[in-house]
Amino acid sequence: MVSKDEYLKKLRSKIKKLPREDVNEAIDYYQEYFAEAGEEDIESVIARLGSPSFVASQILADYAVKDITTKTSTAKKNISAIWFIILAIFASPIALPLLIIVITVVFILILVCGVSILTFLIFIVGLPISGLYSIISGFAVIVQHWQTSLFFIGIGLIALGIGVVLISPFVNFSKKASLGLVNLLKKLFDKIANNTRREYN
Amino acid sequence: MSFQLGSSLLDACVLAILAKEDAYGYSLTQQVREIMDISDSTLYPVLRRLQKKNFLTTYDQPFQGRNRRYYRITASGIEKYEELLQDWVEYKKKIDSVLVGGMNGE
Repeated sequence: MVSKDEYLKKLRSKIKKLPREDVNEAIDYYQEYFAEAGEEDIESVIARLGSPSFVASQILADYAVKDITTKTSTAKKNISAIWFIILAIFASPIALPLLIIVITVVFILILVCGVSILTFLIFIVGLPISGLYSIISGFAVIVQHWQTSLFFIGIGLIALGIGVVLISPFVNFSKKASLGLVNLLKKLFDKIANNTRREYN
Repeated sequence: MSFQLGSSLLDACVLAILAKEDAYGYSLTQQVREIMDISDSTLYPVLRRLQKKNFLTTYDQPFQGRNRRYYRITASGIEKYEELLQDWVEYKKKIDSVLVGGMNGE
């Protein structure tokens, strides 16, 4: 038999990554809930609530949704939404093999997204730098052979120009990619939550 | 019940109950449970969300040496409730025209 304090302690540990204020608010709510239900035996109360994991996953899922639907979505917010979705997946009561698959898929998705953004970043940072370098070496040989000098300066300017032009599409791309990833994960989580909800209702 | 309930319908029911009178979490949960097949833990995120959108406010009242947190609907909450009610009436009409109409038309 589980005690009320044990139940609340478990719940607290599952949502502890949320802002402290919000954790306390949720625990206060369920503390009050148990007090109101006082007359009944604890097991039927818990049966109606679901396991601490289930309660936590509902609270965490709500945070993930809130973060996605906020219109001024920044990369930082997206990352925190990903974090809440991962926590929600961890907290949801699903079978371990399925959990492992889900975590692997989520991990791979984040990895692929991160690596492609990083590749573009290196390309975009590298291009202007090599352009500048080429310009400098062009000026360095200007007295020896002005034709070579002109060639290097020209190549350098082209590289620099392309690099600068690509910056804003790159910023857009990384924003969209992270937002798309969050939406995808949200859908995945909703599916899992719907499948497991029935067991606890 | 064999029908799935969407979250806006749940929002509407919570707002409707609170439009009649203020309620604390537990009593609100039991009232919603009488009409919907939900887990008791479904209500907390809903209340939190409605509160964040300023549709609800809370106030505390002592009860038997502890605290009871009451939820009260705000003016914009009532507005939202009326909007949802309007949507529901429309929706119900459409569903009825198929479900109920199908039976009479045989």
